Amino acid sequence: MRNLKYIFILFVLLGTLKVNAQTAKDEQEIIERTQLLSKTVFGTKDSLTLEDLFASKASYGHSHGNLQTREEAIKGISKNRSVYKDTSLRNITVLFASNSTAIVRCLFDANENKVDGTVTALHFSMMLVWVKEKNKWKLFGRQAVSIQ
Amino acid sequence: MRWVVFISLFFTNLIAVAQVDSVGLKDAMQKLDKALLQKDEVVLKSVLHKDVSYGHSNGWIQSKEDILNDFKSGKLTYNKIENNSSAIVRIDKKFATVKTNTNAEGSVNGTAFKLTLHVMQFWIKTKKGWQLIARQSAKLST
Repeated sequence: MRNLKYIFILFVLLGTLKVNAQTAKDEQEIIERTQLLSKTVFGTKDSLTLEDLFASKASYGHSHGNLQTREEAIKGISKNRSVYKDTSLRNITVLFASNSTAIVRCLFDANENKVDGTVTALHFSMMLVWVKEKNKWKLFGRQAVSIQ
Repeated sequence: MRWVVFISLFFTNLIAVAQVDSVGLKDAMQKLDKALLQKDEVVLKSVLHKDVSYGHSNGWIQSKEDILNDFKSGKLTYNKIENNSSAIVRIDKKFATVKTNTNAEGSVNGTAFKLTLHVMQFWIKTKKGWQLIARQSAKLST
């Protein structure tokens, strides 16, 4: 009977460990997806990568208030002719709202070189919402805001 | 046969109710705006998720604790929150995306502000009903 109690405690502990391991793994995956998103949006602009990153019902908000659907955002990003230099993505924090929902906050800086030759310094604070779809973290929502 | 129809109608209703609760969401959205104006701690505690991430248009981010404390200390006060438009972009059983265009007036650290904002909100349905989990505003260029 006593042994049973210990076995029970052991199982509970193992369960906790497993949950913690899963969270750490999810957090790592989300950070990697966040970095890939940034590299794709402000770098390669590869539409196939974007198709994989975006959730089926994604909403994509720009710093000037424009809100796009998944299709509009993917089209807009892949056709964007600006070149982004000195990009930096930092202060990434992940917060789990549930097992399958996470809110990411991060800061992004870059110099945007537009087709017309002008250069604009960008300083963005980003809010990203990632959801797990078919075991993969997908971007459900994004809102950028320009900061000083 | 009549019973079969009746029972299946009953279940169809149940499924519809279980899927989306946009009435409850709209109610929570209104409650939130009113509570932000009135600094209603009880309502704020119920409509804000414990892990809420509340981002302002200048990059300032508040936690639930920050929101409650900053209202209490007088750091932040809203005098006006007026939605020019408000749309539920996506809604399912547990998760909703909301976009509003909002005129916000108030003061922060004693300095008055008057802003036209684009606000993106994410709501999650918990046992306590719809709760705001993430919010980010951006200044609208006019």
